[in-house]
Amino acid sequence: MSSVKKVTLKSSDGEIFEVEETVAMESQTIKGLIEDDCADNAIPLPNVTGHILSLVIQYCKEHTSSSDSNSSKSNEKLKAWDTQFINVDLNVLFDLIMAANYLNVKGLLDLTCQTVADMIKEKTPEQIRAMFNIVNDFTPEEEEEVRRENAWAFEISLKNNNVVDTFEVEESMAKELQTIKNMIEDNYTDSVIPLHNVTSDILELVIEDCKKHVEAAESESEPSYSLASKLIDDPLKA
Amino acid sequence: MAKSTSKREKQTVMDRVSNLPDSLLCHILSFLTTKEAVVTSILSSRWKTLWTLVPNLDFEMFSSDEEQSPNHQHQLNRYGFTFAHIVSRVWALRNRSRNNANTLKHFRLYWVSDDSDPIHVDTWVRAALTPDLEVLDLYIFPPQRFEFPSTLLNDAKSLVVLKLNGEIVLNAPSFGFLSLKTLHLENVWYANPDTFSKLVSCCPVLQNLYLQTYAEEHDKFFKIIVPTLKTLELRFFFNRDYKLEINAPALQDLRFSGSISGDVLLENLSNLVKADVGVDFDDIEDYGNRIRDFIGALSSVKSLHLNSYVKECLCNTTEFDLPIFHNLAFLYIHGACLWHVLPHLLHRAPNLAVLVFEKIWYKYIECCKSYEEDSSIIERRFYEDVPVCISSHLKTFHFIGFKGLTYELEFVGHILKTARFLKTMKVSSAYIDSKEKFRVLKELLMLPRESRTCQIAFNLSKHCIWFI
Repeated sequence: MSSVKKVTLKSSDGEIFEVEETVAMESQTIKGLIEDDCADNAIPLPNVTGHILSLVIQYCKEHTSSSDSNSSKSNEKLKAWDTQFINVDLNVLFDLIMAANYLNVKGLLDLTCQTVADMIKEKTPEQIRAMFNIVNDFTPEEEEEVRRENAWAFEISLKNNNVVDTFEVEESMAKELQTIKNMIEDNYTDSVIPLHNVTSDILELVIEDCKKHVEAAESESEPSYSLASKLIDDPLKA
Repeated sequence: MAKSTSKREKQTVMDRVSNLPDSLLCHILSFLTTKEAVVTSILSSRWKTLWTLVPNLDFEMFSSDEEQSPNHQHQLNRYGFTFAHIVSRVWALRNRSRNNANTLKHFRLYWVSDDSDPIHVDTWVRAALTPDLEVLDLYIFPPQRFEFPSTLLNDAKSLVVLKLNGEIVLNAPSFGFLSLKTLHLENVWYANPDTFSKLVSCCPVLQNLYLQTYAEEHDKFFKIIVPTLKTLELRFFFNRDYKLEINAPALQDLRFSGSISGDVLLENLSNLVKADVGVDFDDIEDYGNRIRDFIGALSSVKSLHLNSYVKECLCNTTEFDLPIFHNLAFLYIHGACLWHVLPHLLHRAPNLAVLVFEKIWYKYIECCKSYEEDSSIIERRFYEDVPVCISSHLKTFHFIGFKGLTYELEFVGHILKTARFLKTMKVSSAYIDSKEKFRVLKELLMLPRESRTCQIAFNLSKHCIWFI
């Protein structure tokens, strides 16, 4: 069908793409240019490389052809296609976010952002930092302040060998215990930390003591190291 | 024990996520619940206040037995934070960072616990109903019913999605919802019998409507006359003596589940593409005819799902005069009663291309019991008067719940013999024991096929549902 209208897109690295107009119009940015009659020659896209542009075009192609029929077949198949499509490495994912934003392709923007959100969901801050290489530039005081302000959002659960009892404690408190501190810093992936050697009564006492230790540090009084260290360093047996 | 060396290696790679502009980071955070978004405040100074820019608030609180335990109470009391505290605190802190309060576009509150306080819910809903709000999603079970401030809905001129579920009483608004496209009402209470109809008629651009209701009072009138409506899902549980009127010329997708015991009038559904009907048991007179009439109104569909009890009820119709379903290409039927009803349906669907039949293994209609194993019926119904769709159009036939019984094999055999254009015959069953499997497979493969290109597929695992 040679009568189908096409537009020419040029990537930042000089690659040329000829695309059907309806496909290109999935990008609101390009749509605007076409409607303003600015699309007779190749449309330069200085912010998008050829590799990324080809992916965006792929996405638009797949989503244009399915917008006509409304059957659930297309919706399910489309979702599966999207899942497959977005299975890319992190750098490509961010490039796609930027491109989808620049080209204003809503579906692709939502898909890529949802993917990043899914990576953040239910992870601890340490895990998130590790995943994206975010550098923690807070001073310890600043970090403590943020933690306090949003204390309700930061919880981890400690679980003892009696499965029923879980204790949710603030991370700063749990870090008082060197063992748990190491687990946290090593990005212990399970959100519930099992403590096989500790029964709930002992665990409760330890948590009480850690609380006192943390509160003492906050109120700037003499930290009661002696009691704390005795409990922390002694191996805890059932 | 520590495996932290890999972390240091990664630091040479750039942190691309933090370098995204605020608007994009907020967009990412908008896909998280508020709690998950707040957690990001500790990532780095760049992230500290980003969560406050997200125009969504999303809170959920489900109480369970676990949460009644003394440990949990203890933890909450230590901070003095209850759920209400958290929501209020977040709301206040997020408004601190700008001169004008950050606009709230999306408010979702799921508060399903015994200690939920209607005063708090009232406060938050009122605070949320600003002209910026686009989505309001409430799922609440306060100890006293929450009187929804419907007049305030007049202020929420940009509201596009309204979802209400739980102990909520709704009054009809006095003005229109100029932007509302999606309305989802589940188990809410209506101040008057005609509140629902009034509410729906106030929505000039409504596209999606979901209604789930349990009958508590009689004389409820559900008038759904909406020229813009595209999808409609109705779940009527234990409802009788209701009046339902649907007039929706733009409707494409209809799902109905419940009892068709009230006065039902379906009109103007000529653009309907897909319908999914499942009915509950009811022993009122005429039930079969009512169901027949209901399905008859759906004659323009391309895809039809008939679940559970529908077939059994159709057995009881006095006359099987359904209109012709000219566009019907996909039919999924589910139930026990096969020979009585299926041929009638097939005769009414001349262009059927895909037939999925799921046999369920119970029989609570006595009349059908005798027919089930009577293979002469199969001969009569299918051989003598082969439905047009089978001989000229059927491309795919899927039999779910196949046990390899004689009459089942006969039925499958008849289809294979008469379906000239059949491409795929798929047989699924979790019910065949392994000793039988081999025999059944062999018998199936030996059946003669009219269509040269027909392939037979087997699926003998537990999960054998196949959607087209």
